[in-house]
Amino acid sequence: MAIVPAGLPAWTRTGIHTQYGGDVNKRNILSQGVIDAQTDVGADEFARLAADLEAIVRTAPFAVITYACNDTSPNPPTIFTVFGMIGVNYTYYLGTSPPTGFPSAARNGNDDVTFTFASSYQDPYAVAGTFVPYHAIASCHGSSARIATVDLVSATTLRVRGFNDAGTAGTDNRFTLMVW
Amino acid sequence: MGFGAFCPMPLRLGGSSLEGLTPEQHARICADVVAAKRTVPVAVLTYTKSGGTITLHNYTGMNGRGLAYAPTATSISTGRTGFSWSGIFEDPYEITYPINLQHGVACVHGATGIIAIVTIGGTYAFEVRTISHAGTATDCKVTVALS
Repeated sequence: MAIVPAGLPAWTRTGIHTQYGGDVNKRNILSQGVIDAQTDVGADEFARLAADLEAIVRTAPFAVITYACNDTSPNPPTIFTVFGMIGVNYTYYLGTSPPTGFPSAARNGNDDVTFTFASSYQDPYAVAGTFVPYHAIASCHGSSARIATVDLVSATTLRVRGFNDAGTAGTDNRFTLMVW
Repeated sequence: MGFGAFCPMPLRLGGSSLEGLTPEQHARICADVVAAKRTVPVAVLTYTKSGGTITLHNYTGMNGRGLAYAPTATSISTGRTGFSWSGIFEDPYEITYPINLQHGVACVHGATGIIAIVTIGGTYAFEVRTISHAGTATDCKVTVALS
């Protein structure tokens, strides 16, 4: 690889505009602005791009995961889709058999699952960045009143539980989990 | 090509994949950044409310990462917390714009079925209520995402 990208991958939440080429004093050479908007990118335009990217990188979810618990015949959950900073996966997988780079998931009990992430992932340039889940939100699918709760168990694991409107665990329900 | 020492800015689009930035690539960057800007949260925070005490665990927002950038939390009553900002975010170039929250979702942490409800606007920038499955206001740990 000819160069190593500046900074660390997005999920470290450390991106700043200067790493993208932004600078508060950035200017066009000799103050000569864009000559042709179809062929040129001005310093002012590039500065906006860098600042907006900095903002996006701070708050974009690391992963959005939709899965279903397998409780009637107890098995690890089935992961349907993962939209992640490390990739997108539309192919169903069992929680214990994740594709490379995607989280695993284990069944704790009815509608009760623990997801395990790697402590570090690599970006497309093979730059590694530590991943620690700081925030998570989960929600239930379906037509009945249900509640989902999350727990940040450790630096690499988080747990999601589902409850019905009586406060007891449901079975075989589908959830969407967002992780930052 | 107008890159490098003789013409650093404005960038002249074109060149090779190794030494340039083609119009097609730049157009894709712009389109993807705009798409991401439309849907990524403005802020995500996790806090615990215990009686009148609110502990903010983590905050990441478009205005910055860390508790120094977080909104001020106010305990309203059991299971009810209000959050307020100055009302304006500033980007790295000191360009400011009012925060205009439109959406809020929240989720409770823990082993008990508790519902979290977000209200945008009113006395506070946003307010979070946590209610047990039986309908009782309950203090707990919550993650909130705002956009």
